[in-house]
Amino acid sequence: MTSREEWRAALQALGDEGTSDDLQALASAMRQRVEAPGQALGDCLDAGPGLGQAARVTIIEMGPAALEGLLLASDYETPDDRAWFLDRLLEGELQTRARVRARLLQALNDKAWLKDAQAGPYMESYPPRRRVCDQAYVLMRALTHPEEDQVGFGIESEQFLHMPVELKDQVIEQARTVHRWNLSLPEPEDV
Amino acid sequence: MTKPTLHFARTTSSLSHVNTLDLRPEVRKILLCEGVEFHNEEKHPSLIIPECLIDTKQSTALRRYPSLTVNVIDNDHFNYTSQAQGVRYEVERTTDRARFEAGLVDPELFVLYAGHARFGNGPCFADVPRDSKGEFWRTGLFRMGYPFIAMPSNEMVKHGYTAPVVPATVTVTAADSEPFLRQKVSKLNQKKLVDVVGEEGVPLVSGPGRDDLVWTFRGFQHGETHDFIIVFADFQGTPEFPHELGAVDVQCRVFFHCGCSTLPLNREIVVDRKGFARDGDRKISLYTSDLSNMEDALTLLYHLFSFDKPSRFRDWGPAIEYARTKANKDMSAAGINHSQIKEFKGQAG
Repeated sequence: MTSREEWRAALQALGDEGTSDDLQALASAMRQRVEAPGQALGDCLDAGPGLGQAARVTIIEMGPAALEGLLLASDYETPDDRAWFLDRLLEGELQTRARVRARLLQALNDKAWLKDAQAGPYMESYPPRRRVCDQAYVLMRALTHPEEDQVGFGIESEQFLHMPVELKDQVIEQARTVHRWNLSLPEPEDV
Repeated sequence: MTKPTLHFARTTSSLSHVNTLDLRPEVRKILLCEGVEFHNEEKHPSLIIPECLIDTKQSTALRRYPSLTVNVIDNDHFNYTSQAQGVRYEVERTTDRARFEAGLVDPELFVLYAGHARFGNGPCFADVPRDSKGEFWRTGLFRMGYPFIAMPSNEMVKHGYTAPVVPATVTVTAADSEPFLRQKVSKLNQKKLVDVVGEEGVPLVSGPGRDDLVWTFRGFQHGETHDFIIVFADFQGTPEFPHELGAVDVQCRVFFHCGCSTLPLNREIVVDRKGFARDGDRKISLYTSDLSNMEDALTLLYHLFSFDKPSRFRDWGPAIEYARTKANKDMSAAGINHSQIKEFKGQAG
């Protein structure tokens, strides 16, 4: 399978009845397809002026799509090749992050509500209802402040999600303006 | 290299060693402890154990996996033999706190608590119907908390029990507070008890009287502003209430605290303060990263049973880690509101 239509047909064939093993096999086949070009390029990037240069140009043109395969490459003999390779890994990562960031920023305008967890099985307490933009804000925080302690991040995110809608909208707008996503949240006394 | 040849021999009674091949499976015992309101008969049909293991189509999370040939002994006992692992898992189900406490000290037992976390107070046991009110919300606890935890001020009225509210004469430190309260410690206010819990709540408070000052703060809950109180919840040093982690010599092989948000609320207490720290494949403890509906307990058990590598008399770690990461994938696929099972904060997968 190579085309989008073929992959979609393979997925549709599994639809409701596909087993976990079926889906794992499909994912494995997809992953191999994704990895193969980057792996081939990685095999050749140290091959010298002709083939090596062709591989490098193709890696650059391919952009982040080469990353999955390149990450499987073993180390290179010369320091120059190793450094060039690392440089491309980082470039791929940064380009991917920039695109994810753009999607999250766009989603900050999406005010649609997610399903209410209270409609599902009984829980000790239910998560606060949230909109797509609320979730995007929390994810922007995770993306841009990876240094934050996981427990603290979880608690502050939950506090944000529990706030009234108008306050959440204010926080999102402020974050967008100052480009900071871990601003102190307003306390009820501040409101 | 030449493959080794396996020789079989009989063991004679005069030998000091055994040289026969023992093909019996290793038996691993699991104590499945159901907390109040999470007894099997009260659960959503898609979460019942072992029914959802026997018929995975009944489970939302497991419906694409093959059903398992679970052998049900009676209402409280079932087992599953994994030929691939060479392990027979024997599961005992209980709703009894004394059995839970006894399980914690058994070095060969996997103790899985599935139930309320009670804001971090700890597991809670009682044989009462869902939505019951009463003192069992306090007396049924097994305390596993930080010295101080925060709760909504209407909690005691809502559930009808007496709570040990912290008076303003006690110093509340960030270090002794659960993570949510920790962020509020510098912003605590003093108010009269009655002004925080209302006349209805005053009789349900042990310690401070009606007009005594207590610590309080305001916080948001589901878009609304609520008052919070602070209660004593220490996992140790409460002789008048001996059902606490500090009073138990915890030795169990694995402990999975499957309540809501037990990673932030209890892990530090269990691992760092109590000292139940992993030692190889012993004293493993697992927690939930967020609110849980017990689907994590179900899926973890399923994947523990269906791990397909030899495990007999070997390290339990690979089977546990496989089950944990597979269960987490199931939870992730189910939606963003689903918790993840973690051994420590920052853990991948």
